[in-house]
This record gives sequence, structure tokens and C-alpha cells, in this order.
Amino acid sequence: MFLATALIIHSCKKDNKSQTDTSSSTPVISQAKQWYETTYPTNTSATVKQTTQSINQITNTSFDYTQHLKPDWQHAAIYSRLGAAVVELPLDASSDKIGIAFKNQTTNKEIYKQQYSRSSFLLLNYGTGYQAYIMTIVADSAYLKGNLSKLANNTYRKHDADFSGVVMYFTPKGNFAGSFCYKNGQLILPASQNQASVQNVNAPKLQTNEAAAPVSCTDWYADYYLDGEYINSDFLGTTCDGGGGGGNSGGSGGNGSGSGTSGGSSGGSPVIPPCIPPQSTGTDATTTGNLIINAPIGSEPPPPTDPGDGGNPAPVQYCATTTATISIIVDSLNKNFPCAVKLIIDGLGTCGAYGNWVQPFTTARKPNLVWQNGSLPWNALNSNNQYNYELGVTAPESGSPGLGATITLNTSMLQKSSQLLISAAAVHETLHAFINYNVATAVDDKANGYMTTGSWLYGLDAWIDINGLPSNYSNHYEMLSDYFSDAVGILAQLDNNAHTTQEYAMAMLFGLDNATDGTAAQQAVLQTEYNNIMTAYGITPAVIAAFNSANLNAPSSSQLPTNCN
Amino acid sequence: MKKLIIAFLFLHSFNIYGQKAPKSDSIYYLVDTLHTSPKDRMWEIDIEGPFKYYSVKCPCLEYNQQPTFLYNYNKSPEGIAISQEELKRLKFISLPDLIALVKNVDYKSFKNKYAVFFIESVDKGLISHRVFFTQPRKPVVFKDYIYIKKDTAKIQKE
Repeated sequence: MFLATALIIHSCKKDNKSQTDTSSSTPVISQAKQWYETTYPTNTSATVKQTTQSINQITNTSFDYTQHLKPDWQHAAIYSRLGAAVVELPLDASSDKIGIAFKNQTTNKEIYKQQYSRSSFLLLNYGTGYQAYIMTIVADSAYLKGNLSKLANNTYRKHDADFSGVVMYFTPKGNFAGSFCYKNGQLILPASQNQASVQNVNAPKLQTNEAAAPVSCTDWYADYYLDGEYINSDFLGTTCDGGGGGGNSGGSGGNGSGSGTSGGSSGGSPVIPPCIPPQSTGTDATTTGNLIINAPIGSEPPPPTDPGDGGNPAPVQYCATTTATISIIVDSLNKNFPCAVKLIIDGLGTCGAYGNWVQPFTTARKPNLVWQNGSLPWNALNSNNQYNYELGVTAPESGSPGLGATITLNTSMLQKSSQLLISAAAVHETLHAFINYNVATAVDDKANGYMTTGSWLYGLDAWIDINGLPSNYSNHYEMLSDYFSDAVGILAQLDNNAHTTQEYAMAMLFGLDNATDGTAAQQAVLQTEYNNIMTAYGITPAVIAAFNSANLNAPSSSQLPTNCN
Repeated sequence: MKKLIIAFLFLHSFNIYGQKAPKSDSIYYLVDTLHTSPKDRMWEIDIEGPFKYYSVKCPCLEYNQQPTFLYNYNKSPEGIAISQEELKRLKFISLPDLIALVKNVDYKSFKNKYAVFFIESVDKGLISHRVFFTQPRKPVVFKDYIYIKKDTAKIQKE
């Protein structure tokens, strides 16, 4: 009864919050607001979506900020910086209270407290449209000296001259987009970090591919708090002492600042957690009898450089600038379609959000994500007088824990379709594998009685609402409602905006209206969500039908090349 | 009336307590693969994602699934040390009996009815982990299609 009452009160509270929205007047802000609210609509109804959020929280995957934070459009700062038109916005008062703490998992001690964090919105436009980020400042207690109002002094364009702490960037869907450490207002660069690590035995060094076996390693986590309650953790990286090797995966911590939150048991200076992207830590390049792709694509992540204008470095666009750490089994596909691996599977691995989706499969341990090609129905006339093109199949492992999956791409598609459609099929099938991983993990955790996120309700949601639903229906609904905008962005990143946003959206819509294992009502719900996406991107049935026809049997110039050497 | 309410709350609290703490039977299994030749080993033991799992190579459950026990390796990697004296006091279930137990189980009540502990030999000695029996899942395959109307000329005109 108490729980029900609390839920009712909380629901009412949410409703009140949503009524506080006000519109803004300047054209730039109006345009930015329209873009943001179209790209990241606030969920209002879907049970499945709420459950997905729960699953995200359970399995330590991305935290969907869009459902908790709202920009304050009335107090936007508009300026240009680092080649981008910037709209910087504080959080609207109706936002949930989000806090981020840095924790040393080994000692279970918080180095930076969640109360010392402050988040804001950044909308950056480099001339190709807006990109949105959440910027979170997590300050050192020695800098704050108990004065939390100092947090507001640190914005994207200017930080205090004596700022010590961490600046973190995330996409609104919670994908990591870089972090930078400061000590006394100075950006900690890799060279000084390494030096500091040598000088201070408590300061960690990064574990790298080339490093000798470390003596002692520490796992660093960012702990997320919602309205003061712990909800989720993100693995930030591992630092080791006593081992060899430098850091090619990012920077390591420097000396602490002398605040009262010591990270070590020896009572020395507190350490600063590593400022590294989660996907760039150790590669675990071992084989299991199959070829494992462990090839970095693109360049190493650039070292952080101080822009020199008193502000913070820009968020990182991982697709173009960072190293992927992909260890996915692709032997069959690589043998028959090497260009599909090199241009698409490897390329996707370098795109930020996609990197998060395949992260569970990128260690030497199971679960595996296996890619292969196979003969699937193509241009097959069905009883509804339609030609049936099966682009791909994802088969999750059937046993327990059953977290891995095998993806089969249609050989005919790989031979005849456009790279855009093949890429969309790869993203689509990856999402099946990713969602299956989340559901299977949540279900096993729930069955085992683990209170994974501080509340049994999350696991219960997963069990009842996701695991109990027809798989095709629930997966496709989640793709439409939770992952669609990220997937469109990934396709755009992959081919460097060679197509229009509408074309990326049409490619990603393939198969998403399919809920053949669902009821008629579920099919109708899915179709509504599908139609909403069509409307949002200005897509008509005729346009998408023509797009599908043109891309299924594409001209050779759009197909995969046969030689990728 | 006041006494009646107090009495009701008092009795109700016992009722709640009774529901919260169901008694479960402890089952101990000694995972001793070292004394079995590799080709005769029935157990597949590995870590997958956050779970360490123990799977009996016997497709004897629903959907031809294998009996599998697991625990969350990330949340409780250490286990509880067991001395030789404690080991001698424990009564272990045999593998055939363990299979028979899970083959006829009501999945929903199993966790409350039984507390299963696997005891393994590690570098530090013997450790015990509480493991959880997983309910077999129906295999799922996602097939993803595009449908094109037969009259493609009509599509172009729409």
C-alpha cells in the first residue's frame, strides 16, 4: 500500500513537472529547442520504454538522461567556441536531481562525492546540425571548500582558475563522450599524468595492451544518483600499479589535491580517477579458435589539449577520432565478405553509441558476438503477394546464461544491396544481440535475488514486461522508442554524412514494423510507433518503398566493394 | 477499539515476518572436476558476462536445455572459505540426484525451497558459493525482413 501510494504521488509529481515548460523567444533558441525536443522526445506512455530504462540501469549500460533532465531554455547562453555555435543551458528546475560520484571499486570509497557534481546541457553546431551533450562537472572538495555555489562558476567556455576535478561529457542517451581532469585549473595532460604516477605510489597507471602484467589494479566506476539515491554505475577504466607500460588508452590519474576523500588505505594523497573512455581500456586479445578482430580503426584518441581560452575541451566524437576495441568473432564473414568486416563491422565499432552496444561482447571471455553470412530468403513471393527480403537473422545462444548471439547477414544482401542498407542491417541485428544480453542478464539477476540497482522493482519490470513479451515485438519496440535516434546518428557517422538524415532513418526503419510474434494489439502499438518515426522524419510510405527498392538492389557504385586491400 | 487495533497490528507483524523468511533446504555439491578425466567431465564451468556458471552437459530440461547454476561473479567473487573440518560435516548431493532434483522442479518455488551451494577447490583452499538454478529459456531467433509489394511499378507512382 505504501509503495502504491508513493508511486501515485511520484506520478503526480512528474505530471506537475511537465507542465512547467515555457517556450523561448530568440530564433536560435527556438530552433535549438525544436531540434532537441524532436530528437529526444520525453517519454509519456510506453511501459516497454520504462522497462528498458530499468534494464539499462540493471546492466550498467547507458543512462537515458533525456527522461530525467530538461534544459532551461529561459537561461540559455549563446556563443561561438572551438569552431561551433554553442547553446549552453542549465538544467530546468523540473529536472530530476542527478549526481555523479567517482568510486574506487577496490576500496569501495568515493573519491568525488555526488553532491559535488553539477550538470548542464550543451548544444554544439559545427555547421552540420546540432549535437547535444550533457556536461557534468565533478569537483574536488579541496577546490570547493564546502562552497557548492562554486560549481556554477565552471561552464563550457570558462572554468575557475583553480578548478580541480573532472569534466565529463555524455550524449543525452548516456553514451560516454569524453572526460578531462583538472588540478588547480590546469588540464592534466598524459605526460604530466604519467610523471605524477611515477612520483606517487598511490597514483594509478593505466593498464594498456603493451603493459606487463600488473601487480595491483583498481577498477574505477562513476556512480550515478537520482534524487540522492544510487541507481547505476559506469565502468570508467582500470588503473594498475607495479606493472609496466604506458598509457595508450587515455590518461591516468595525477596527484590528488589533498581533499579529505582519500582513495587509498595508506592515507596518502587521494588519486584522481582515470579520464578514459570506457571502450578504450584493455583489449583482451586472445582467441578462442576463431579469428578475433582486434584491430584499432582510425587514430588513437587524441590527448586532451587545453584550448587555451579558459574553457573546457570539446566533447569527443568517437566515431572519427578514437580507437575501437573490437574483439568480435567475424571469421566466416571476413572470409567471404572482407569488405563487410572492414568497412562496416569495424567501422561501426568506432562509433560511440555502437561501441557501447557491443561492449559486453568485446572481452576475451564470453559472451561472444559471432558474425557470419548465409543464404536467407531473397525476393521470395509470399502469400500476401509481397516480395520478401530477409536481410539478417540474430540467434541468441539458447542455453544459460545465453548472453551471446550469432548474427547472420544475407549473402544476397551483401552482394546486391547498398552499403547503407547493409550497415543498417548490421546495426539492427546488433541491437537484437544487445537487447537480448540486457534482458538475459536482468532476468538471471532477478531470478537470483540480486537487488541490482537498489530496488527489486527494476528486476521485476524486466521479468514481467520484457522477458514476458513476444521477443520480436519487444525488441523492435525498444529499437524504435529508445535507440532509433542513436542508430541514425551512427549511420551518419559511419559514412561521414554522405546521405540525408531521412535516408539514414529510412534505412534504420527496415523490419521495425515487424511484430509477427505479437498479438494484433501489439502489432498495432508497434505500427503506431513506427508511423510516429515516419512522421518525425517526414517519410511517406511511397518514399520509403522507393528507397527500399533502390537500396535492396543497388547500383554497383553503392554496393560493397570486393577488394578492400 | 485501541486495543483491538494494537492486537491486529501485532498479529499482522507476525504474519508479515512469517512470509518474509521462508525456510529453505540447503543442498551442497562438491565441484570436483580434477578427479575426472577431461573426456568424462559432465560440467562446463565458465564465466560469461557477469555470471560464473556451472552447466551439466545433459540436454535433459525443457527446450533441450542443460541444467545450469550460476552466480553473479561481479557482485560476489570471493565466496566463503570452507575448512576441511567443515567439509567433512557437509552432506553432499550426487550429480544424478542433483539432475533429478532440477528435472522435476517447479522453477518458481525452487529458489525459496532450496539453497544450493557449490564448493570448489581454488588456490586458497575450498570456497563455497551460493548458486542459483536458471530456468530454461525458450530459444528465440530474430528474422528481419523488408517486404516489397509485387506491383513495384505501383510503388513508384504512389
